[in-house]
Amino acid sequence: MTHTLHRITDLFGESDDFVILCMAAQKFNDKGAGEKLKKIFRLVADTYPDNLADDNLGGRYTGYTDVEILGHMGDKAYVGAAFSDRTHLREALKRIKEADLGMSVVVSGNYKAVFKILKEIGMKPHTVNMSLGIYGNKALLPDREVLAISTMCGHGMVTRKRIENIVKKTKSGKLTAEEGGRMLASTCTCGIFNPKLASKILQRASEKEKGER
Amino acid sequence: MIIDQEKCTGCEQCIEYCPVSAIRIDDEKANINQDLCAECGNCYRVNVCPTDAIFRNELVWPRTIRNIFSDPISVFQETGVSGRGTEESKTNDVTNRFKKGEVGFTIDVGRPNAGGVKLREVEKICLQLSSRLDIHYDPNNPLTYLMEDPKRGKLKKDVLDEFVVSAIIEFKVPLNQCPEVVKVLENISHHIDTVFSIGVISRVDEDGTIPAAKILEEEGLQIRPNGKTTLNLGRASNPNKI
Repeated sequence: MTHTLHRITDLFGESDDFVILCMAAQKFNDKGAGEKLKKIFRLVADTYPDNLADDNLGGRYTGYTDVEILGHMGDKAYVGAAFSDRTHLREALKRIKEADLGMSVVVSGNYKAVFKILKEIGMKPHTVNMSLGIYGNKALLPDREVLAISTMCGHGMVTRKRIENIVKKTKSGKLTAEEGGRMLASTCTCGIFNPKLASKILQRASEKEKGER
Repeated sequence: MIIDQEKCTGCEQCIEYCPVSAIRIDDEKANINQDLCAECGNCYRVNVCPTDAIFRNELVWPRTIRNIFSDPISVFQETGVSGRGTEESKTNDVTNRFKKGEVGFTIDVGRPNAGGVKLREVEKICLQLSSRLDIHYDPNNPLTYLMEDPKRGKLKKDVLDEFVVSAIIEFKVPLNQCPEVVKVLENISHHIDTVFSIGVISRVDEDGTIPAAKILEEEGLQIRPNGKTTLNLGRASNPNKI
């Protein structure tokens, strides 16, 4: 899975858009992993993530409470959390490190920022997956704002039509940007979609429209 | 996915949830074009239908592939991993799949938002890669399971017309072959009717240097500022792996 890799995050310069994924390696440390991942879920829940889920079920914005998510989590659970605040991200990573549960942890986001945070809390990166961007028939792609929202769900479940409709409703004042961001998050089961960042993009789209009038 | 025509009121609320635009209104009722439906289940999962007219029908081979590749909750039983790909670099701190001196590639075909892709289009990329380079596709990737000849990157005939939201091609090569792979991919990109996103996996040296990044940048290739970083926190604990 590479669902957090190709996020378009440069609409606002160096954007604060981070994702944490925690999981077991199947056949290596999956036996009994469920309880460890539940502990990680609880630790992350206390550090003010903007979204949180087990991607085998869904998350806070797809209609589940933390208790329901925890009740569903097993050895194959994938904890996914989105952050737009570096302090909160740092705190989450620090707590996971201190808990020392032996699960794999991945952070998606700007490398410079992530490496800096890791250094501050005495950790080192092990492996990276770098994006070289998009190739092929780019005429098939939506505009950059829609793309910035849709790439927050790498599985493609936050659809182009849905985003365009919410953008339209936000521009016309039928929805606030915050409401729009939350509604868009409701189809991402992995907890990696950041509703706060989506709101910011919707706000920008509305202001741009007003400016053009 | 199917919409019960008796129950459907034609309210159109489900249409915008389909990532491949397979839902259309015919005779004032919503209908799912079965050729286009990628079986991702998004229209069903969001629970937007006021009359519960949307339901999952039982899938048979090769249509089952659509669901495995397109539904994020679906688990590929052979590996126990959910989604279209593998754990790739996410658990590399435990599995050591990508060693120093090696580079992994994850090529996400149909992503982002190209409106779905036929596996025939994905095969074009695999065939081209295999004709130019000695590629060993990841045996745990669902796509590799569909190859009748992995040495040539050839897929089984009966899966070529299957339509999915996206598919991931995964393999690894020695570090020095990394720019060559990108060149082949750049070349193919002009001959396909979809998009793909390239991911390059590399170990990080003790001093924070990323060897693959250095090589790619020397070739004039631009690496996006954000990506995935696997930390060094995991460890094997299953009895046979300690």
